[in-house]
Amino acid sequence: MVFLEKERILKRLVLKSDLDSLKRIKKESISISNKIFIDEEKKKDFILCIDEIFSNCILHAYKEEIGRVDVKFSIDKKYLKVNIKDYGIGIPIRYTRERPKLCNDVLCESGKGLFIVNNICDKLDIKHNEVSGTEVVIYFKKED
Amino acid sequence: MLVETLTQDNIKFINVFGEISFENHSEFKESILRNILGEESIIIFNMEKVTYLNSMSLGIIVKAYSESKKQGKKFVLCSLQDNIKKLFSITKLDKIISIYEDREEAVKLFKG
Repeated sequence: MVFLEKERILKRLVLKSDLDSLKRIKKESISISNKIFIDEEKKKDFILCIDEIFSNCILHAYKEEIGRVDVKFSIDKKYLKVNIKDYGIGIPIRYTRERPKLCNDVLCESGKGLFIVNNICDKLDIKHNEVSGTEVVIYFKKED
Repeated sequence: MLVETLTQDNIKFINVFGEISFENHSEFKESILRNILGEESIIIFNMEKVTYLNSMSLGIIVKAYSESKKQGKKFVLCSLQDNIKKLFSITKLDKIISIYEDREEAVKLFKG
């Protein structure tokens, strides 16, 4: 018999892929991380991860347009989890199949965001939505 | 975010204060690329008061480093806070761009 860990939703937000929403989501992340974590480094890592993923929605999901981004903060027994979902063009498929890598040239000026997120969170899932767009789920282990 | 510069003995110090993020990255980029021009052959980018940095900001620092190198200049960093040092380590940029504990250490090395 498998018991599913109960997930409790802390906050749901329907946002736009723009700077105002980025500011708002960073504020929410600060507020939530202050409630869940004590370790200051962990809080900073958490905020950075959300910044990186949401920034990707602004830069890439809808090209030059502005679109919808749904964000959900939740906790279960083990993790604080953040789901960031856009309905745009969809991330290149390689990111849904393998861990993000650094580009071969360390001095490339872009493309480090997902790699950083993957290295500082505890778990990262990237998937295509059924119809269009991408959902990124970031997991941070709760402190004992 | 505030950017201050100071020139001393062929060294240009670029001191940045505050957060560097999506919201102000254009301003940061314009400022730092302008400030690496000039006659000084050594640029010390002092990050003591930089409290937040994301990958976009890292990319701008990389560009500043690359442009400095093209001009035959040395571009180094100093006084990184731990959370920012970590980003340079994760992305292996600390293997390429010299990072010093503090401004004095950086200056000492250049003065020999």
